[in-house]
Order: sequence, then structure tokens, then C-alpha cells
Amino acid sequence: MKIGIPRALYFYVYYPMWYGFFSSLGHEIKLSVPTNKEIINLGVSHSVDDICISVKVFHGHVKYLLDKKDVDFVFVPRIASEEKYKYTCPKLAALPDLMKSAFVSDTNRILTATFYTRQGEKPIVKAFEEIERQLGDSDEKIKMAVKMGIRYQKLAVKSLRSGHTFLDVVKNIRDLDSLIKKPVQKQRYTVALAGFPYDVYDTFTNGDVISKLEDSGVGIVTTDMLDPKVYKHYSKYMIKDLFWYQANAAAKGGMYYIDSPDIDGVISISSFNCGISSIYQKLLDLYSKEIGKPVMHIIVDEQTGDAGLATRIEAFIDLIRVKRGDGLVAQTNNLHGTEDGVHVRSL
Amino acid sequence: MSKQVALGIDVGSVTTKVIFVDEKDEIIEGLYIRTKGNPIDTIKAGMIEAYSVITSKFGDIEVTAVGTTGSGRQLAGVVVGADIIKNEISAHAYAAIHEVPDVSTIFEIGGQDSKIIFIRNGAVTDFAMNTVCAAGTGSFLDHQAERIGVDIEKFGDYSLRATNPVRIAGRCTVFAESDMIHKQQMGATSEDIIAGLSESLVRNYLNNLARGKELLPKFVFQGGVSENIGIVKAFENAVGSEVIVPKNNKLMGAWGVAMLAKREVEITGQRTNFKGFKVTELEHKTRVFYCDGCANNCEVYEVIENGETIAYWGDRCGKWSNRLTSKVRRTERADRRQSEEVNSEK
Repeated sequence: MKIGIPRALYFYVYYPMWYGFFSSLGHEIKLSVPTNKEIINLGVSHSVDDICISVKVFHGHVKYLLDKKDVDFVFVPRIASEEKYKYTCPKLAALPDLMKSAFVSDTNRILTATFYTRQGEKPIVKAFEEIERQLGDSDEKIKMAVKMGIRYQKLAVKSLRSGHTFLDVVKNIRDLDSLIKKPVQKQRYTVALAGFPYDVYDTFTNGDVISKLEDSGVGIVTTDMLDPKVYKHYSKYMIKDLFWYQANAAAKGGMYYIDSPDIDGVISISSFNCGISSIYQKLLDLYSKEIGKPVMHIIVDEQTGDAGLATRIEAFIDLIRVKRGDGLVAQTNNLHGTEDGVHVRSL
Repeated sequence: MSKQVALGIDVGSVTTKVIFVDEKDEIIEGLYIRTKGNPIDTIKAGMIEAYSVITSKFGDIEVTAVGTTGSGRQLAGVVVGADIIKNEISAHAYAAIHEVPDVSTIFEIGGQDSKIIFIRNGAVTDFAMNTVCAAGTGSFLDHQAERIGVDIEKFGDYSLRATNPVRIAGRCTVFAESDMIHKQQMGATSEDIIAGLSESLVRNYLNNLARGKELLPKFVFQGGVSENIGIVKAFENAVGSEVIVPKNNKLMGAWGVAMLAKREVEITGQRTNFKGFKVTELEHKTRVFYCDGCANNCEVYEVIENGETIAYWGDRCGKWSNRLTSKVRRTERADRRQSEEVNSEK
């Protein structure tokens, strides 16, 4: 069978698990294309008005896959919880319901299951069994497939811990072992990106912050590369944990990077209208004020013009350059003296 | 020997600034003109005018370095041949620190955007820019001046004469306008309304941009709106300290980038990229088209000089901008994108 997986939201966390599971059962996987203007337009026109852009984009990806007639099912999991006593954002927990109400004529093509991912294997097996009841595979095969799914997820986490981004993981999903072994090149400057994986990695929606930084010779690390153990102790600073695992990862991971001496600055990326983002951004603000490391927030919405974004990123890079004593002028990797986005013919 | 000067161009959304600085980094000629929709023509007109003024004052000149900044910095940079194209935050900060070395906070309000820049020990440590809407910027004031029927230049004097400023919602022009109409009908004078408007602009600015950050003296206020003495006073009341308006308040961005261009040329030791004043005679065209290479339909901008394309930008993948240079990183990026697309098609 052909299973469509929307390239949005929790795709940027659990894709390896889903890939391992479905492919070992012999199902074909069809990913939606990386977000583009068409997908955003589809999403905006099919979603309710007052949700964040990330969920709107998800609508677009689901619609894109539903429109492909050869896709039998579109996989829309309900990630209910990723950690004990922590639950996901209500909009994300309600995704299958949102999709079913947005695409009424296609409800029977939406494949769903409820996941409690951080409470051992049992709930995951249960969730996948729920899926297979809908697809019709044998119990034996499901057990094997779940093992494969978990194996892939572990490899992906290992790749992230070794400094590769999730985008690299997606690209090298068939050979994660060699990705893990591949060393990450160190740049002169390193900027940490704090935020939910789906905001950090959706390169279209966020104006391609990652490439803009990399093109200016800045290396990046992200909060999902961190083992939650390393930032556990920041709960004390926050008085109390936030109620969502990903929000804690962004907040505490950001604080961890603020404290790291080899990180030059932290950029947080969030979508407009996201309530919990405004809280962790404030926490990062307060913490950076104590430590004295530059922090900048980028809040994305439907806009595609990126002049304002380019100005902010250029100025942020200037700021960390000056902080390192490198001055504002004579960039070595930039012979024509121009900045990102323009190429002048040599005169 | 001809006089050596550096040229700084700041192409803002509403106005364009063209300045020349001498060896001592002092501005010897500065122009402040409205951009009026066609930045290239405005830049050329500015250059011609500045050139004639400066040559009549100093005789022959030699341009040793050129820098551009502002939201039109890329366009200006490729048209005149800039040595450095710098974002306006760094350019403004550089000039402010040059003028007031112990500055800690810079307020900058221009036509379409406003910025706050925090400086500690002569280096930028933080900054913020206004978000999407232009509330609390020069355009907002311009619009309200027109509505009240008072010349924007006289706005400052009006607000100084106010005895009892009224409170006006400053977050959005639409609300501000209905608030103003209401207060006018209640019998408030133009003076009180204009003063209230200035206060609301400052309140809005500080709430949006400063957001609980530490505001330390010295304060420098620059950009077109700093001409308005009413706003300056409103800032002083809000922060409880003197707010310095530097002597080249409207030209700071252009001045900063001219100085940065000089430094750039000094460090690299290369000759300037400046194409000379003959660029004003060349024909420049811009073209915008939608690339149909993929579903992104990027708006691609093309700059054509005498029939020859000199720059592309706006494409997300580098398909067009790569045509002019073989920058390795760019190609990598295009490859990466392509392989991502291919993967997803599998």
C-alpha cells in the first residue's frame, strides 16, 4: 500500500520511526514535497483562521497528498505525549480531528493512531497495532516492524547527537550508520537555533534561516541535537517545567546553549500566534540578560518577502563578529564586499 | 591633487540619503531626498546633484570607497559598484558610536521601520526592529499630519505648545485615527492632539521594541523622525533622561556605511569597485519575473545595465543568482534542494 506522510510538524521528530515501521511492512512511503508557496496556499485556504502557520502548513501537506490519487492513506498521527506528565499542544493533539473536519470527503483515507512515545515500547506497539488494524497486516509482522521503527528512531537520535541536523537525517534515512560516522565541520562562528523542530527545519516558512547562516560562514546547532539530560537542571531556573516536551526542549536547550562557551549566539524561531513560544522566548530573554549572550527571536507567518529577515540575520552576524573581535568589514569569504543574496560580477 | 572622498548611500523606503565624507570622516556634503518609487533614478539624481555641489566647493574629487545601506542597499550596491553593502542596523550603530562614543541606547525611526539598538562598550549587544506594520514610524506621522491638516515640519512646534496632551491609541493607524476624530469632536485642540500623538508613538515604540530591556543613558535618537522636536521631548519624558539628537541625525546610516566602506578598502587594499559618476549616464532597468522552475514561484529581480544583466536576486535556490558567479556554497545549496525534491518524489 502507498502511505503518504506529510512533511510538517512531528515529521521533523518521528519520521525515522514511521519510515522504519512502514517500509519494513513493505508499504511504499510517499512524502509530500518540502513546503512551498503552493502548499502554504493550500493550507491557508483549508484551515481555520486563527491557528499558527505551522498547523496551516500541515493542512497544505495533507491536502497535497490527498490530491495524489495513488496514495492510499495519509498518515496523521496523534502525538499525545512525549514524556510522563507532559502533553503536546492541543492543536497538535487534535490533528487527526482537525484533518477529518477540514477534508470531510476524504476522512476514510486518513490513517491515524495515538502515540505516547516516551513511556516505553508498549504504547508505541499499541499505537501501531491500531494502524495495522486499519491496514490489515499480521501481528507477527507488526512486532517486527515496531522494532524496526524504534531502531531507526534510535539511529536518528544518535545522528542528531553527533551534530547532524534533522534535514541530514531525512536525506540519509537509508544509511544512518554512515551519517553518524561522518564528522561535522566546525565553522568559525556557531549559532544555536532554539525552537520546535518543525519551525527550525521548515526552510520555506522560516525564510531559510539555516542556509542564510551557513552561507555567511556560520555553523548551526539546534536544540533537538541535545540530550534532554544535559539541560534537565534548568527546571530550577524556570521554577516549574512547561507542560509540553518540545517547549521544554526549546527553553532549556536554549538556556543550555546560552551557557555554552563555544556558542556565539542563540536565535529562536517560532510561528506567529504560538502561545507557548512567547513564554519560552521570554525565558530565553531573561536568561540571556543574566549571562550576556546575544539572543534574537524570529517569528514567522505567511510572508515570503525576506528583506526584513535578511537585515536581522546580517545584523546578528555583525553583532557576533564584533563580539569575537573580528570587526564589521573585510569578510574573507566575501570578496566583492557584498552580503548574502547578491552577486556582483567582478569588475 | 584631487580631494579624496568616500561615498555613502542609504536607500530607505521613503527617503534616499547620499553623502560624501572627507579624510577625517566628516560629512562634507549630504543630500536627503524622497525615494518616490524609483530608487535608481533617485540615486542617480542625488549623485548628480551632490557631485555638482561638491566639485564647485572642492574642485576635482576622487572617490576612494563606496558603501550602501538601507532597504534598497542591494540594488544601490550593484548599480553604483559598492565596496561594502551593509545592513542598516550596523551602519546606524557605527555612525552613532563614532559621534557619541559612550552611547548605550540608539533610537532610530525612519519612514517604514523603527529600530532600537543597544550598545555596551562601543559594540552592538542587542537590537530589535518593528514587526510587520508601520505604526509608530514616519509614515504614520505623515499620514496623521495630512489628516489634521498641519505641515509635518511644524508638528514639533505644535506639540510643544500643548498644555494638556490627550491620550491616543498608538498601536495602529486605524485606531489612532478614530481616537483622534473622537477627541477632536470632544473639543481638544490640534496642539493637544499632536502632542498626544507624539506620546502615543513613543509609548508604542518603547512597548514594542524595548520590551522590558534595560534602557541606559546615553540615548541617541536618529532617523528622519528625530527632526521632530515633539517626539524628542516625548522620548525624554518617557526615559527620564537627556536624548541626544546628533548633528547629522537624518544621514547617520549613509555616514556609517561610508566610513565602513573606507575601512573595508583600507583593509583589503583593493581599488574601489565604484563605477564612477558615469553610472548616472548608463541606462539601468529592473525586471521582476516569477520563476517557474518549481512550485515556489519565486519573485526574481533582475538588474540590467545597458542591456546586460548585472545582478539577480530573490531566488531561493540560487538558479538565477548562480548564473553570474560560480560560488561554491550557492551551488551546494541548490544541489541540496534538488536532492531533497528528488527524494520526496520517490
